[in-house]
Amino acid sequence: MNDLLQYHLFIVPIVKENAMANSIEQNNCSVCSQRTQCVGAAAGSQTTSHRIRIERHTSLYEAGSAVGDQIYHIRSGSFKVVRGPSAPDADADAHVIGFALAPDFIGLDALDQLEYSNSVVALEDSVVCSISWNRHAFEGRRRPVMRAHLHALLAREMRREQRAALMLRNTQAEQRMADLLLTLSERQATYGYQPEEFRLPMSRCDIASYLGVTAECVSRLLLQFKQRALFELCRRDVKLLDMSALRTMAFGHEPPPQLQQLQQEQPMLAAA
Amino acid sequence: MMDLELAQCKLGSPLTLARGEHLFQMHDAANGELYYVRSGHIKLYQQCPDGVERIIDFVQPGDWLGVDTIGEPERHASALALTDCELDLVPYRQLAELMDREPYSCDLFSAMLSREIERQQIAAATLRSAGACQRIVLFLLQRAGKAPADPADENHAALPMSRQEISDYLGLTPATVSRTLSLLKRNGWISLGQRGFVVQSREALEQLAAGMPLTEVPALA
Repeated sequence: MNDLLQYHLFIVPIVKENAMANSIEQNNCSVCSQRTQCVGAAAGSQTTSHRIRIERHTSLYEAGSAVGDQIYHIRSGSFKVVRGPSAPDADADAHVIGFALAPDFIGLDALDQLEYSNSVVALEDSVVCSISWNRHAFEGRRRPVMRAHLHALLAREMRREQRAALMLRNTQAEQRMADLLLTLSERQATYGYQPEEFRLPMSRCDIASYLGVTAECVSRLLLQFKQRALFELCRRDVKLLDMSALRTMAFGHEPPPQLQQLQQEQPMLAAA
Repeated sequence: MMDLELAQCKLGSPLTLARGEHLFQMHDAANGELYYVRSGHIKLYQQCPDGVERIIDFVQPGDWLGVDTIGEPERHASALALTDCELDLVPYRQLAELMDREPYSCDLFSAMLSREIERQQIAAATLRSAGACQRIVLFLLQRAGKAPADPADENHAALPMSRQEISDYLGLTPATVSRTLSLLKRNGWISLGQRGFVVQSREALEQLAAGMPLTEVPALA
């Protein structure tokens, strides 16, 4: 009974933050299969994190809401990161600045902020672990390995953002579209699924906003890709037919296999 | 905060770099070496196989360099000095020792990395939405730093990179950059020096940055 009460006290503030009907449960990190990829797990505590279920179209957090001491690790599902107001009818100022897919971390850009400058909205029913940043940081002081892990994670996020900007500066929409499809496919492969077949979690409008083009342009691009037999698309179900042509399109030429690993992080090496 | 502490702790070893010299090149071993820029300007870029150079970032005094490859074996980009530079070479190992002694500095360092992520997000967001003039004005405002208490105290901000480099960074053509800069100057919103500029009307620049059309912002000259 006592345990239950404590548990309740602990979760109430988080529930308020995510006003939507999302459920939270305590996590047992010591039996987590993604332990090795998670900064929180290294804290060694069984209850470092809580697991939160987020329903499709509801937000994990909103721009302007107070930053707690949480960072989030996506266990399953996907999110869009939106700068500016997140309501669909708000105005044209809201932009999709990124997609976060499992096993990404969310909230790394707000460690020193008082309020979030982005909103994070679930594209499908998703599950995240919320990792207490304070406790984590506290542990981290005595656990250099974990600290280095976190810094490496922040550095990777920095490279990803640099890469997004590089793509926007130097490539055509067609290249960015091919790159997005390949990224989704790679993520699929990481999970041991078929890299060729997946579901587009985001809408055409989200893709357009992210690529910096109009929704019409995205539809036209998808149609062109289809006509060139690069993929099959039925609603949101994608089947990539010609991976090498897509790579050529994204990077300017087919990269040698040993480079492909590198290009997940540094695609501009070979981009033309 | 972080730079203050660093200065106090006398971390790292000083290093000078002459204009046009490389600090490191793409694929160089990173060896966990970070750099703190005391003075001077550096550009971070990637060289493509076709010889085209893609600018990632311009690094100013007070910035850290190499933090984007923490935990990586090699550099993902090259760093070239645009002016003579003074740097501190700070091995991550040494920083870790400081963090062991001073746990607070770990929070500061993480916070700095986090801000850096946000800065890159903003750079990308600008490219997605803003028009040419808006991009250039946002870039200038970013270089000019925070507004001084008295508008008369606007500092000379360095613009050590070429028009070509600016246009590459902003995804524009050099001609557009030159044309827009002269237009901003002609309207009295900025004054241009040889390798720098001074903000004359922050209000006008902020209106332009917010997307107000050029014709609706009152000219000063």
